[in-house]
Amino acid sequence: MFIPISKLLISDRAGDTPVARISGEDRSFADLTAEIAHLCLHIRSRGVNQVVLATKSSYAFVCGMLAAFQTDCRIIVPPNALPGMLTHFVKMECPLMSDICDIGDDNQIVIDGKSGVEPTFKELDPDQCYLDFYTSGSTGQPKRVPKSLAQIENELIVLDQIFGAKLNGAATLGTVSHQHIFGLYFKCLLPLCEGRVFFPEIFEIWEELLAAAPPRSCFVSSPAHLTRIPPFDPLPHEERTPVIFTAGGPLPFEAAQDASVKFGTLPTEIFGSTETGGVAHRQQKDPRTPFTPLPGVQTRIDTQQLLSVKSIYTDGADWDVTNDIVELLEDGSFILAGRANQFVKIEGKRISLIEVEKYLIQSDYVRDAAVFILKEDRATLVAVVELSAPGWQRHQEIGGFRLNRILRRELSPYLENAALPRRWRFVGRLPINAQGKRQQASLDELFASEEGAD
Amino acid sequence: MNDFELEIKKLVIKTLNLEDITPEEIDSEERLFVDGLGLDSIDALELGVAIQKSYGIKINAKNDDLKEHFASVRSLARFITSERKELGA
Repeated sequence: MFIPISKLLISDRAGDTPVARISGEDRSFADLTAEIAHLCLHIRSRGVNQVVLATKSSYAFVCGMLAAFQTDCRIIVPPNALPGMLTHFVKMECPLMSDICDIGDDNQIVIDGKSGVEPTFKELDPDQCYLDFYTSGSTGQPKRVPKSLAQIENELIVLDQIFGAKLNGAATLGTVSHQHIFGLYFKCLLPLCEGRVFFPEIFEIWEELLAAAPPRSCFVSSPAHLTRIPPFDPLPHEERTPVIFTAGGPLPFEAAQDASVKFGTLPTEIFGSTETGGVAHRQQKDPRTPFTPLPGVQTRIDTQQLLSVKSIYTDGADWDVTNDIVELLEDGSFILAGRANQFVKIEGKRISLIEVEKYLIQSDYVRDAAVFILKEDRATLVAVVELSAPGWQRHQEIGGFRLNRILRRELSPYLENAALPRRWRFVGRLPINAQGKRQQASLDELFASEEGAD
Repeated sequence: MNDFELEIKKLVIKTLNLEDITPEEIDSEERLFVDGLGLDSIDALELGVAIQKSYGIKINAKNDDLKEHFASVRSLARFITSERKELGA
C-alpha cells in the first residue's frame, strides 16, 4: 500500500515490513524508525536547522532524510560525496550527515545504524520540508534546485499510479546514485512508499547486481550500464524483471533491445531533469516511439522547437523551459531531437564543460585547457591541454598517458568519473583565432589520427 | 614477459582506447584501477564485457572475488586461465 513520506512515520505500516536488504539481511520498518529516532536526538543536540546529506548507502540516506525532516531541518543534497564537493557546503551550523566516517570531522553526524526511541513522530508538512539538490551550473559552480516534499510526493503518487501495479512488490536494485533525483525517487522513495524492499548499494557491475537480485526484481539503471551488458544468457522466464527504469540520456535502440532479450522487458526510459522532475516515459519498441507525458504534465514547444513543461511538481507550477529540442505530436507526446546548450550529457550525467576546464586549469601542470565532446561510436569527453613548463617537464619524464592519469587523479576529488576526460592531447598552444575564439575544427582535428599527438 | 599477459595488455589498450602507451609500458603487477593504470568504473564495465566475449568465460560474482581478479594484468591472466581450464574440463 502506498503511504506518502509525510505520513510514513505516523502510519500503521507493520513494523516487520522489510525496507532494505543489507548484505543479505532485511532491515524492517521498525529498524528504520528506531534508527531515525537515534538520529533525531543527534540533530536536536546540535540545534541546527539545515544539514548536508551525502551517503554511501541509500538506506542511510533515507534514515538521514526522514530524521532531518522530523527535526525541521532543510536538507542539502550534493551531487556526490567527494571531499572537494562537500567543503562547499559543510559548516558548523550546517553539519554533514553521512555514513562515510572520515570526511566531516567535528561537523559530522554519523549515520551509524544505532537505535533510539522517539516517543512520538509527527506528521510532516509537505510545504515546509525541503531538499536542495545541486546540478552542474553554467558558471562552473553547482546550481541549487530546491524541491519541496509536496512536489516530491506529487511525483511519487503519479509514479505509483503508472508503475505500481507492474512493480507489484518487486525488490529494487540500482546502478545509479541516490544523490540525484532519479536514483532517489525510483530506487529509494518509490519502494519506501510502496512498501517494497530496496538494495542500498550502488552496483557498479551487472554481475554483482544479478548475483544479489531476487527473482523478478526491478532495476534502476542508466544508459552507461544498459549499453554495456555482458554476454549473459537471458534470465529464466520466472525470474524476468518486471520494470527497468533508465534516465539521464538517450538510450540507443540496440541497447533497449539487448536489455529486453537478457532481462525480459524493454527498459522504461524516464525523460526529465532535476528542475522538472519526471516529465515523460517510453519503452522503445521502435526508434521513433514517442515519449508519453506522465499524468498531469503539459507540454508545448516554442518557435525553436524547444520543449517546455508544466506539472503539479515542476518548480513554481509554471512553464519550465528545458534544453531539449523535440518534435511534438498532436496528443502531447514527443520525440527527442537534440540538446540546445553548453551542457553535455556523458554516460547519462549532465556535465558542465566549463567546470571541468576550471578544475583542470588549477593544476600546476596546466596553463590552459579546452574540454569538449567528440562524437565517436558513443560521445567521448576529451581534453586538449596547454602544458606549463613543469607540465612539459613531467611529460618528458613519464609520457602522455601517465601524465593524463595524473591529471585525472587531480580532478577526481571534484568530479565524478563520467566528467573525467578519456582522451587527451597536449599542445604548446590552444588553437585560438585573432578574436580570442577557440578554433573547434582545429581542436577536433587533433583527435582525427589514430596515434596520440605528442 | 609472459605471452598471455602481453595479450591481455593489448586487449586492455584496444578495448579502452588508451593512447600514448604501449603494452610493454604496463607493468603486469601494477594496479589496474584507481592507482596504477588509473582505470575507472566505466572502464571496468567495458573490460568485463570484452574479456567475456574474447575468452568465452562467464564472470560470476557469486563465487569469485572479482576485485582481486581485476587487480592487475597478472591476476587477470591467472583468473582467465583457470576459468578456461574449467570450461575445457
